Amino acid sequence: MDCTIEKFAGVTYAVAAGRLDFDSANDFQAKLVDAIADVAASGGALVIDCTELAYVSSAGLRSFLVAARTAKAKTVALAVCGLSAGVQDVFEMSGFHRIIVIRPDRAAALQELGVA
Amino acid sequence: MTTIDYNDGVLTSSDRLLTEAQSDPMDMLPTAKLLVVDDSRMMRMALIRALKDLGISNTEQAANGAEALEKLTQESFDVVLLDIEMPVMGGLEMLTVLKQKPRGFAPPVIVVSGDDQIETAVACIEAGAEDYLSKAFNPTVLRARITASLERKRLRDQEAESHRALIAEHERLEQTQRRLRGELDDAANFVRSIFPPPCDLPLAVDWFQQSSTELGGDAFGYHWIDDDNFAVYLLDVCGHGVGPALLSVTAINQIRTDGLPNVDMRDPGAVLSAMNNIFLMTKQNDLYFTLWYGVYNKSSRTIRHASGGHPPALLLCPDGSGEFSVRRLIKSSFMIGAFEDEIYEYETEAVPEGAILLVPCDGCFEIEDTAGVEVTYEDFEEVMRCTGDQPDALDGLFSWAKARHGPGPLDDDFTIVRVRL
Repeated sequence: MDCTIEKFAGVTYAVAAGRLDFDSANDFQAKLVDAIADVAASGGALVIDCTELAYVSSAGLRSFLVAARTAKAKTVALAVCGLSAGVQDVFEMSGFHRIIVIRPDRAAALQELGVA
Repeated sequence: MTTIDYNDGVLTSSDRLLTEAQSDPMDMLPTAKLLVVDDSRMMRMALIRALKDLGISNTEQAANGAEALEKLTQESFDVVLLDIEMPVMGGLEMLTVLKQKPRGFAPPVIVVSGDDQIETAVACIEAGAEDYLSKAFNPTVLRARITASLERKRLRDQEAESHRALIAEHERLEQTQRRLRGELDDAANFVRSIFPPPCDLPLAVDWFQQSSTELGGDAFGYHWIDDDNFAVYLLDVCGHGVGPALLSVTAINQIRTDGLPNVDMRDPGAVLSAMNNIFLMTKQNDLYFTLWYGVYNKSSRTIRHASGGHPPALLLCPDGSGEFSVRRLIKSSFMIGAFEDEIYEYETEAVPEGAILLVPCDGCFEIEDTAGVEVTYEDFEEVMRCTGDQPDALDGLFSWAKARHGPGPLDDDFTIVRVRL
């Protein structure tokens, strides 16, 4: 899978694409943790844009779990957007919709985070 | 008497090799051991004298190729000076014999040829000789030829030693690989041995399990809690390999041996809540697992079920016309180990006569097909709705998954348990 970090109008976007499974979770997790540290230092918010994320395994969810915990510890505003139906199912099946803000698109995510 | 051949005063590429590879080649001369092969005793003496002048005193001699081969069999030499025309066995014939010998048997051979034997000397070089020298040799050229050959011998010996070391290392790695494979096989056999065998009575249960690597992270079980309650459970540790397999076995044993103190094993919510606190990922090397746990109550024909991040189980219910309708059994919360003190709850589902319970792991349907399209739970559900009651339905499901995936092993472990209720 690929993850690119973009910054726009004070908001950091982690754009995820491809398949997130156990093998790719570590790299993705590291990028998210770095991005959270960056946001914690410079301010703003982090939105993980999953529009191009085709698949997440339950093992791959670890990246989001660690990101949610790290963001909470550093009081960084975090939201996820653009989940496909299949990825949304995995999030809900695993209870992740209870710990991470999930919105349909970037605009809704920004509104939820209060940075729109 | 040695004559000087000025025509042979030009250094060859062998001599250049020498200057590049050996900073002080003269050091090699006193310890070198040479074999001089010539049918002319006078020529042998002349060569041995010239060699002595160069500082090489360790020399042996042979009067023909056969004698030389005999000596090469008995002791090792650094360089052979070889005449071409000799009785019994000439130089070219001896080189032909040497070519058949194993690599490293013979040292470099310098052919000593007369000026009228240049074509034969060329044939000798083609037959494996390293270099040639005119019988009317110049001492400087003799030294250059010999030191170049000695250097080649040294490099060849070094290469042979490296090769031997490499072979030994390769063998050591292969042994380690065989040992590790054996241990992985033992571990895989152990994991399989804790899976209960398929059974027919009082409930018919069968299953299909295929790990994507030697050791998977899936484990499952089923057992009667008491005369009226039958537990079915399947867990899937994130990842594959030794660590996840160890966790999967430990966790499944906790359930199958009723190893949860003060927990009513008939209460799926209580079981998952207890498992969650025992197997917190922060204490399990950051590994967590998903778990589906159901309890079928025979008297009431109901099933209680709960899930920690696991995909739904399917209940195939006969619709009276020979077909099945499907119900998803899902009451899901966080995967097991994610959050301490999470309370898991269960739901209850009525089980009609002739129903079939199918408990899959996500590897049964989370597959990227040959066109790059993600297979979905709905695809899996439809396959099971149409074929789930057939005797070979689970093997058929695996074949379907493999066909969708294309060549090569599946990316994830594939496990499914079926219970005819």
